[in-house]
Amino acid sequence: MRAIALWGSIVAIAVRNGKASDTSYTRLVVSRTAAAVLGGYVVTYWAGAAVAKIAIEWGSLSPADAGMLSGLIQLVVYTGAIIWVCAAASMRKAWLAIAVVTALLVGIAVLLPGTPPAP
Amino acid sequence: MEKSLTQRMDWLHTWFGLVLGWLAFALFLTGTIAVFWFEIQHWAQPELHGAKMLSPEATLQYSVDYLQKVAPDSRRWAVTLPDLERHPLLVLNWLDQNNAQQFARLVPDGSGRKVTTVTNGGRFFVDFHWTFNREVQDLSGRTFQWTYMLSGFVGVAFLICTITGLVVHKKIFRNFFTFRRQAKSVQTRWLDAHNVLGVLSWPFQFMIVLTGLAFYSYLYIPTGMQMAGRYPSPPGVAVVGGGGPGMLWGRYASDAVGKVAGNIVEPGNPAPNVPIADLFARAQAEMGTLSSFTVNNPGRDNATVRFGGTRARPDAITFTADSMTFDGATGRVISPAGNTVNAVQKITNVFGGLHFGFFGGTAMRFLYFLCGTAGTIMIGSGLVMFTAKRRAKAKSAAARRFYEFVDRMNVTAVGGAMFACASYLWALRLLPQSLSDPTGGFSGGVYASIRAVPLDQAMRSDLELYIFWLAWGVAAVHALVRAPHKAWAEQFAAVAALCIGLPVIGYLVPNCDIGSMIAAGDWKMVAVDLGGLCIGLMLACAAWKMSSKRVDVRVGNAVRAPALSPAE
Repeated sequence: MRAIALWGSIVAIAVRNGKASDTSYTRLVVSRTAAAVLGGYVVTYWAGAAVAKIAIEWGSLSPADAGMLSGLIQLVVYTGAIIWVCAAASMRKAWLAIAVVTALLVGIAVLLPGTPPAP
Repeated sequence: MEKSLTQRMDWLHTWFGLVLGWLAFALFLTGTIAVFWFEIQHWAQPELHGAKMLSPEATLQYSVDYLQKVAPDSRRWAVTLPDLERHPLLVLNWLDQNNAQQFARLVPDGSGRKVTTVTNGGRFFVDFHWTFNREVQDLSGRTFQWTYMLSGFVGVAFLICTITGLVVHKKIFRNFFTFRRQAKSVQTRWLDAHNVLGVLSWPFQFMIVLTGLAFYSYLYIPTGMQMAGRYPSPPGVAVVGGGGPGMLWGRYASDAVGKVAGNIVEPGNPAPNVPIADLFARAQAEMGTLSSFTVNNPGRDNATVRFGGTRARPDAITFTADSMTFDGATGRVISPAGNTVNAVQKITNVFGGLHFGFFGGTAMRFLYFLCGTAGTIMIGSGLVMFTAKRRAKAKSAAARRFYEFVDRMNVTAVGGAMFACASYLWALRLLPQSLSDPTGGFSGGVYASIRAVPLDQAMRSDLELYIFWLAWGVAAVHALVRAPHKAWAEQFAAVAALCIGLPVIGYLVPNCDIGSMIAAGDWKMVAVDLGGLCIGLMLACAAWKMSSKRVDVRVGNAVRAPALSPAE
């Protein structure tokens, strides 16, 4: 974590040509990047499982089709998530949205009845 | 952070573009070269140069006769027919008495000459383009491959940059027509070049990165595939491996010698068979150009003959996986031609077809190459712009050091990648053929992957890769020790010299000189040499411009340029 913060501050100083004491900007950059790249990854990770499950359980897709379809959806989800997080005006809203969406997707993928036992 | 939406998108465009642009440049460069990977594969195998090729029918008859002679009692023959237009190489496989696989890689001119050069050739560029040159594992292995995860992330970053690029360049129509070549500030000129290239080729850039990602998207974060794998699948349909690297690269007219042992059927009684040439004609009438055929138990009453169509046809964008199987004794059709792929697989096959650009013939490939070049230059100019824009305005010493570091990284990423590719092409031409893997190599069908072996055990294909990475390392060290503006010019000059030298070094190796190849009419080989020459001349021009004093002054020292955001 400290290494990330250090790098963040170097980048932030370089970007703004400002002083090292300007830490709120550093925090913002680190938070936004983490939310976009890592948070987006988590959402995408669970979106794949959820989409495949929905497509098989509720739709009429075969497992092979559902697996490939989830890949296509994941691409859109990750790209959209990164752009959306960076477009959001407030970081609190962005983190909250990531948490809610992730919880929803985990709920669909894990808790929803219908998953057969793993082979 | 920045106040408005445009500014935040600008921030995203700038920083994703910079940090991942270093890798994206290498991916774009190798991807652009890979458009012609078959031609480079041909160029790298001197035995094939200038050979008078047989017609498809004669090639088939020749391979049947050859196999009849060496392995009349084999349980299986498997033949990869030459791609006469792009990479004519005939690969014959058969099982010997002990059901061990034997093979011969031949020049398809009926002379029986073998191709002994075992090389990564142009295929290296394809593999580097999406794995950074690490071994591609079978999908069913599901091993975590950080290299293609990384290339996938670079792809997503590039996709984001194409989208945010649209947002920050709101005056897109004006940008299209704006190129202030005489502008006083270097930054303005770089900005305009970046914008013109980006806007002009935007549809291509967006399409190529989207299709590339979509085709393999289920590989990167395979949670969907894993979930689908927990459901029982209908018989005959495998969830994973239906399409993927194995399917695509299978043995599509490349020199991979695939494993053919497996599902061996016990031979029946000797019986007269229908001539394979007749079945070939029937299959060709149904499926067009054929790329392979397999015969089980030739000369027996349970013989079967299977013909494979080409994966990619010039008249269809999508990939196809047509095949047709005959009963070898009676000539009856066992399974008819027909593309039986899943619905979603059909969609991804279209994405794949668009990305790989096998359709439309040579003209289309040149268009892909040109657009890819535009994209490569766009990334490079974007990287340069980052420092050109900021260095002059750097206030603190830390900021100045940071921009200097970025500048050196830019040289390493841009100059170094080009230097490594050009050195690799020299290695393909100059490494002695005798170093080739004596067993023929690549029996698993895998090409470019680094093997860590001592230098004295290294084969030709290993040395080619060592030279690639060594050259990049040398360029990186050079970029670290030289002043950036000198390093730029020197590395461009070095790459230019290597590219211009490509036709010249052909004269050092038998059967590779451009003069006699023109006489023999081997235009595939000549085109690679001449392409290298043209690119070399353009790079020399660029190096000369960079080395001139006026650029040095403007890039190196602070110029009071009017502040200009990309939104302008």
